[in-house]
Amino acid sequence: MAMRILVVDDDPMILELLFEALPSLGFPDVTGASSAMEAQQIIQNARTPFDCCLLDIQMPEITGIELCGWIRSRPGYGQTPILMITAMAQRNFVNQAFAAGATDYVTKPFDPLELSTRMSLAQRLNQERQRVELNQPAGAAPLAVQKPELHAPFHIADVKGVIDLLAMENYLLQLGRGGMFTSSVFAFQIAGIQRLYNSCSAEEYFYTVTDIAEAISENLAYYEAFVAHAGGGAFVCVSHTPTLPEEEELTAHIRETIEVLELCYDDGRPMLVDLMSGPRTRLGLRSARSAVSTLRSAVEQANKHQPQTTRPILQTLRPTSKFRALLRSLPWAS
Amino acid sequence: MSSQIAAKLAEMQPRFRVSIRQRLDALETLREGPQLDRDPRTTLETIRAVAHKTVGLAAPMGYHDLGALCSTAESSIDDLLASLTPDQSAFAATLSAIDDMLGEMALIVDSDD
Repeated sequence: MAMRILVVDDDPMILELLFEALPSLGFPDVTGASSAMEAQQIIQNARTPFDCCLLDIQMPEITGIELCGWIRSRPGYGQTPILMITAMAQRNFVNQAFAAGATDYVTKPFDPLELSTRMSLAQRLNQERQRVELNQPAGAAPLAVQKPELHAPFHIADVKGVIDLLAMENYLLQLGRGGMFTSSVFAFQIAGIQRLYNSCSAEEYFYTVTDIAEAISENLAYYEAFVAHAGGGAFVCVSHTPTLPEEEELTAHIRETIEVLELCYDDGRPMLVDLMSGPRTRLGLRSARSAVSTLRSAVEQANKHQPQTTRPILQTLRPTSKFRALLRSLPWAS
Repeated sequence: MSSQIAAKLAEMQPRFRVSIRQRLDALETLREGPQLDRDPRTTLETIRAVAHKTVGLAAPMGYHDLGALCSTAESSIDDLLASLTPDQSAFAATLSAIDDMLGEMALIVDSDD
């Protein structure tokens, strides 16, 4: 079944071009809107959610970034690929777009080959998600209480500053294209994650990882940072500020935040959770591709603190299409 | 690029050139407006919006130089507007970037006449 795509741009010629380009690239089911308000009406009236949204940023009244945040908050759109297609190449717009929930960022003028690549990725994500949903056995538990595999990243919804790993990869790639690297990449690892995973129910594990992601993000809130869950209790972080506290100090603050949470199992037993950090890597002179490699390296470094019996987290980080599809296919719909 | 998209771009190109003429007419009027001793913000923001919209289409339509000059003008206006105390040289540099963009638009329009 063809992917249902919603394109939003206030420039009629761009809309016209996309109406021609997308079908010729194998995406014939395209709906257009010339403003964010029109897009909101179309989404509200749609019987089933769109499979993918392409949004311009600079539009009158409601910007594409505001629209992105609105779409993300709608039922059924928690993991829908949202691509920003925009001439806004500055980092503050890139940051705002990913913070609002964008999956990818395509800078105008776009070329059809690049658009085709990005759309194909969005299509694979949707297909994989649909496959997982179709394979749910009758009477299976609701998606929100199925336990993810230990080493698989899963979608953490509604936590400010926390984005999906795939979005973080795309974010770094976009910064690299614009020559905007002044970033530090580092990672945190929940100590003894295998033991914690084994001792938790699905809900306990999901909410513990979410709480820890929130604790990390809270402590990075003033440092222009994003956090992504990389699977296996590892979190990769990207920050752009030179005033970031030293590793030990930052880790200590996050541990304090986790302690205040008083994490516990459903039966009231206290949950012992500790967090390890890895060293920071500056991205200033690196290419976009090596920036993505640096994400994996950061997790590997943090993972060195793990007991030898724990499977290395690095094994879960393969930037392949299959891996990317897996990120979005996990049964943790928002 | 697929032949289908290329054909569409070719079909759209005359309309794009007409839109460039319209943008040029509007921008030439606006260009007379901004002066540093008055508040130039509104005028510059309008010019910036037109430049921004032109960036997205110029290159696909085959006007790479225009796209680059619009992008430069947009960035220059952004920098000027972000500056708390823009001086005369920064203001002049922005006007120069706008003039370069308008000059390229005029070349495209003139080639149609």
